[in-house]
Amino acid sequence: MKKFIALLFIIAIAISGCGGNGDAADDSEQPGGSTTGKLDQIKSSGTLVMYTNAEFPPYEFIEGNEIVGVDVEIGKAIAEKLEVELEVVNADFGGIVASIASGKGDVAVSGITIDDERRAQVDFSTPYVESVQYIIVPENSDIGFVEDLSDKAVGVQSGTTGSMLVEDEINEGVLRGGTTDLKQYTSAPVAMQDLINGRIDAVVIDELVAIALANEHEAYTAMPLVYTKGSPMTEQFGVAVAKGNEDLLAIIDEVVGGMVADGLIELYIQEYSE
Amino acid sequence: MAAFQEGFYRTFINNNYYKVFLDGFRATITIAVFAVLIGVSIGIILAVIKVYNHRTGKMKIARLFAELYVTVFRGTPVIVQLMILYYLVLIDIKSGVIVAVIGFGLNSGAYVAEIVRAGIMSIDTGQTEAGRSLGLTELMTMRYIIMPQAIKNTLPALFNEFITLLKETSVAGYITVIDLTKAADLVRSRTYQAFFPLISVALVYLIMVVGLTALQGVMERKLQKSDRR
Repeated sequence: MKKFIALLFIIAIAISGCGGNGDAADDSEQPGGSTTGKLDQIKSSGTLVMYTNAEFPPYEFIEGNEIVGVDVEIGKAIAEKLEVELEVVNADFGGIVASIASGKGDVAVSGITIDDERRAQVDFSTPYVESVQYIIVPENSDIGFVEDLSDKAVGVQSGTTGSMLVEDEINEGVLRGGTTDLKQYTSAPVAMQDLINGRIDAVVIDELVAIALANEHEAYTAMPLVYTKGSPMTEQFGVAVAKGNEDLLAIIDEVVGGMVADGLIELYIQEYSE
Repeated sequence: MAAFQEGFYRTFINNNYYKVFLDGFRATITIAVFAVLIGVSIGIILAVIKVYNHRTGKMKIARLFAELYVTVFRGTPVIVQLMILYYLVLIDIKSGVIVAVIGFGLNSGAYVAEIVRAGIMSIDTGQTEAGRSLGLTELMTMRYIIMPQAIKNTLPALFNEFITLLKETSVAGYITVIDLTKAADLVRSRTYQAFFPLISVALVYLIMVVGLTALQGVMERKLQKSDRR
């Protein structure tokens, strides 16, 4: 009996503790609530903390022991403009937006597609690139459209728009009622590995990443993911910052806008695709 | 409170996310149960081989194999073993759950082997001698006299291993298994709310472990009955 009471006690503490934390977490989610000037914070600390997931070539990947890529160049340009050092943090893609929303990092530049779900959590800069979802398949594959995936095993990277797209189609879209097996990987290259192993039939991932991966493996091709009727959906990548930092966002917009206008983004994409 | 309710709604009700958690729970249980079965079977076999060799000097090659097995599986992280199995060795097995069962089972076997070996060693050799002099074979002595006593001694350590294994299954997400932890991860990456997925999953693990502990208590009491004379 004593044991049982002790157990109840522990559970009670755990639950009441949860309630407290929950309220606190909700408070910090209010737009502009606790973030008192990210810009001042960055300037006084002297470092811009950028979150990214370095398994997404050519936007970000590891070379030697350094994280490089198009997005890192964007981060560098922003840091330069702010006259601070850039610190790149390599994080799990699924957690990046939440990390920025909670103020853990200053900016996220990680090939993040601007969408409404994410816009509810963070603010986005002007888009710096347009991308479409691509599908990587073996060269002799009969998959041509989204609808063809209804009885296939599909690999995606957890938390990406590609993952959400397929998930949504399975739950309430054209793949509903099918037997699509959606497999979640920690990164696109790992999913590619399993495609080569033959465990899955296709990988859905962003355009340039798909092309980069398909180029490395001869028997595979990458193509835009389209529905039987209709064109591929274009997506736009943006830099994410915590809500309520209009001053910081204005500077980022200026930097990113300038890079797009000068053709720098295009140049970096070419440079890092090689 | 409204935000609390909304968080709950978005994590469990919206888009039927509770089904993701249920599927994850099922995967976790499946992996843990079958891995324990495999682990205990392998562990007992390896332990018997080691003790037998220790006492009689026979079965040298089998003992070397057992030593190597324990060294390799105890000497490398389980997550690395899982990835090696999934991406290099068991490529023909499509299901991540099955690979996880095999991986965790093989890994656990190494730990159980040492636990059971300690249990057998704790039984006085006089017991074996008594069994043998009563006309039982080597194997029968092991099965009917040594093992029942050894298992009783090792119960706390064994349950320790089961609990560790249950919690360790949380890394199965690395090989595309959507277990309880990965389910929380997936829902979190859609709702951007960390609180409900993480805390609820933690509570479920806790409840499972508390259940295992209770089971251990029951088994210990039952096995102790023969101690009271």
